[in-house]
Amino acid sequence: MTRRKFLLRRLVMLVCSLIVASFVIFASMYLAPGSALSALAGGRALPASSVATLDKQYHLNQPFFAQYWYWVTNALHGNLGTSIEWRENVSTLMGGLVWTTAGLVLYASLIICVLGIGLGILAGLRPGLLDTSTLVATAITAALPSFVAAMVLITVFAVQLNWFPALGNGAGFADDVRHLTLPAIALALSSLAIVARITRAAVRDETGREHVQTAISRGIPYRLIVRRHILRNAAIPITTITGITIASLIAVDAVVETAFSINGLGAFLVKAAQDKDLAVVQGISLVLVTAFVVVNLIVDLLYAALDPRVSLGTAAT
Amino acid sequence: MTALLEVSGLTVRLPAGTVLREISFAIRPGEALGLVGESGSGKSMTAKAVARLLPAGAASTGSITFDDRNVLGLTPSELRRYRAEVAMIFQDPRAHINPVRRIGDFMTEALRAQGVPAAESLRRAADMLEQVGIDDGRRRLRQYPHELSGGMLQRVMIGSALLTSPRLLLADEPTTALDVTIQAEVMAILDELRRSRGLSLLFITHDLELAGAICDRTAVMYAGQIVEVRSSDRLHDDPLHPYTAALAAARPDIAMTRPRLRAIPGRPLSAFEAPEDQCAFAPRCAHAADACRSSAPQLAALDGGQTRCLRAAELRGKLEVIDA
Amino acid sequence: MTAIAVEAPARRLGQLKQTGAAGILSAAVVAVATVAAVVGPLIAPYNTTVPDTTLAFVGPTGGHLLGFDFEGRDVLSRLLAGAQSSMVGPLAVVAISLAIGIALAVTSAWRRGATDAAVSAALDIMFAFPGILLAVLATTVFGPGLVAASVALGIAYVPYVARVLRGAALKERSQPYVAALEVQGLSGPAICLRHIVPNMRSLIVAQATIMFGWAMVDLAAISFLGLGVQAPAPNWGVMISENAVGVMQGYPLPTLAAGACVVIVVIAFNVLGERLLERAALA
Repeated sequence: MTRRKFLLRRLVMLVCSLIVASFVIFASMYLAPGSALSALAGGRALPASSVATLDKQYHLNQPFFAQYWYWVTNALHGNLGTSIEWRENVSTLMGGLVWTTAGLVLYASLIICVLGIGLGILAGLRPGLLDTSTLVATAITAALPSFVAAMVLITVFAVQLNWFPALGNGAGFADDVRHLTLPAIALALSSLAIVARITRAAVRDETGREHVQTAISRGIPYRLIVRRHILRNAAIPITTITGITIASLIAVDAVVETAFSINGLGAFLVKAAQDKDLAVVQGISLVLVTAFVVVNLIVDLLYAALDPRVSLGTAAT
Repeated sequence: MTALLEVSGLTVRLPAGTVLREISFAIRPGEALGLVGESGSGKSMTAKAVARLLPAGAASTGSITFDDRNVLGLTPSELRRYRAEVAMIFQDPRAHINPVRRIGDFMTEALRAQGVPAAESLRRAADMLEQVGIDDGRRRLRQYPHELSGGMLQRVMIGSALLTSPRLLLADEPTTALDVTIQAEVMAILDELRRSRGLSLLFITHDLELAGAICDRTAVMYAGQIVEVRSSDRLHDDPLHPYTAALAAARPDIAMTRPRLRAIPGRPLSAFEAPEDQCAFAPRCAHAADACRSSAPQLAALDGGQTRCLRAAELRGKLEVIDA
Repeated sequence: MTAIAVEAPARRLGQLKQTGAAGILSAAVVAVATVAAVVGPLIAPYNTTVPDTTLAFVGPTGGHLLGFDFEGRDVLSRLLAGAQSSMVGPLAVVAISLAIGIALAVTSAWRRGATDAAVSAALDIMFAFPGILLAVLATTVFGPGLVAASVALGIAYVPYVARVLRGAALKERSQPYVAALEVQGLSGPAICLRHIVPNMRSLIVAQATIMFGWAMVDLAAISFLGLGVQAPAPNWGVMISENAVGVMQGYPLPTLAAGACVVIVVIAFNVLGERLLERAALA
């Protein structure tokens, strides 16, 4: 049926996106001045044995697309190359860090969903003090970049008030949560504001729609109207914007991890970029882009599930 | 016979201005009253006032009485019962039905809110679909609005309005948004169901002849006021108000042989543009006299109907309608 | 109803006047920032590069309104000098993404059919690469610096620009005057360059303004990470990161001052861009 065709098309787009993205990540080796070898070495002088290893690992004597093929198939098997700086498998180095980053992004997503959507709904349904203060607060925080928010949060809550630790990961689950709270807020803050504003607008929009009038005229109780007609319909744009902002967290996460000295994938990515450790940068980029694309796909699927009018091709906006 | 619905001196003010002035009319049980007017005349607003669907910020004075109950002063629980007895059908069915929920949900919502179990509600809905001329009811109930045509959606709207067994139907231009051929079908269904159930109907339209076709009496509105009320068969041939005559004459008729269409000069006034100290139609009226421009006429009885015109008595028989 | 029709234009005009204050304020901030970007290094009252660690993190004193940074340099002077690199980068990003984006959007809208479908699909695929990631990749391969980061961001913004402008270009394309010009014998590229693009200029300017704000945030983040402008060059993103040590020690002013500059200018560009967008829509 048309739903299935839509899903199939999205899956095809997902695979295409990943192919193109992985190609760009791979091909970056050749974009820089010098050979692929010098790019991988990152300006370091390499002993002959290392050169031989790299040659074999990346099949550097083979044609370009063959190299790409080997690289991709290796990646799919979990082999993302070797770090030139740490002399270890990139995958091994990334191992434990993935959980920290995933935890941070999840924590921030939770804040966005609960606070952002929650405030938006409340402000949308009741005009008044809550509504006005939400508008003002979100206007300010929407423009606050995460690294600036990070500095402000550290200044106020860590240094002045000493409620939360400023830096580092923490040990054990509860301590982890304590350490990740300020970073999660910094990561979530501007997205939270955007989600709250759009949720509020969506709720207001739906409340004014004609089909709500029809439901009122039939004598349906208010709380059912809110649930089945206003929120159910507003869920479509709300899910879309929430999904998009959560996807964007994946990229910004590197900045927040650096600001709070958190031992995560993003901070490792930045350090590797500074060290010119191309293999690590490629590996982490591949993982992050995949996550980004997958989250976007999930958003599209949710959209299709919520809106029965969606059919083949572009969804109705 | 006592009236089922009695509107008396209803005046509605919005922040933008007054939209209804001293509206008074009555509908008897089983009677159909047409409410005709151009855009801005206030006809939709009248229906919304009766349905208690006025926009926020609207102030109403006067009275609306349904079955001897004061509609404007109903408590929330009384209001819910009132809504089951007075059902409204809207103009654009696609906008007025929730696009993300199934037809079955739409039709059974009101019944389930009253406590009728879901299975029974669906059964009644399927029956109703058959009565409005949609077959394969069970399948249709599972479909979504975008899978049905405009005409079918309007029949669904009519059907769902009738499910709560109302005593009064308010129909706000139900066929204006539909193609002409579909219009006739939907009107036929509406008319037949109304008569077979003995429902009262307030039928709003801009089409004088359409109102005449299915309504026992017709009221004409201009600039937020009722300017004439007459039984439908006499309205067309023997109108009491110059505006009604002009409306009837302006409608292009297939039998006409005149070379030009007869439009009414000027444009229709909205309620809040209407002056309070003279006849609102005077600037456009071919029969206006000085008296019409210096005092506002009241609705007065004349020959079995009512009219808001100072010169009505003297203009009897002189108001042209049919052209050779 | 005529009632509503009469009300709408009057209300829109009132709204325009209301937003005028915010719009004017934003335009003023943008103007000040631009001036600072041009003449900042020249008008900075104090030395911006020579360190004097004895003055590190000293608070505001006479003549030094914002105190000293972690190397004992005057913060205000560094901010003024830093305006240049903080604004030039986003300018490059906007220029690159507009150049490529307009070309793609107009070509796609002009040819329609298969070309349009192919370009749209390609743009959808390009959306997969977040700007910051592309910039990190670019700076790893080409070395850190404003150029690599700006080019990478410029390319990453293309899908967004192209999508917005494609819609407008399609609308222009279907206007009667375009058909008239075609009949007169004008070639496709000529019509696009001389008529369609100029007719979209208010939308283009509005989008460019909004994008400038985002590019500023992204580039400041890249510099904050140490992959953009390199210390000791003055730059707001760099200043936020290099003075971060002060926050832990109880001297947050230099960091927060630099952060405030970024936030205020970005907000100004966003608000101005939105006002311009409203005007473009009403035109």
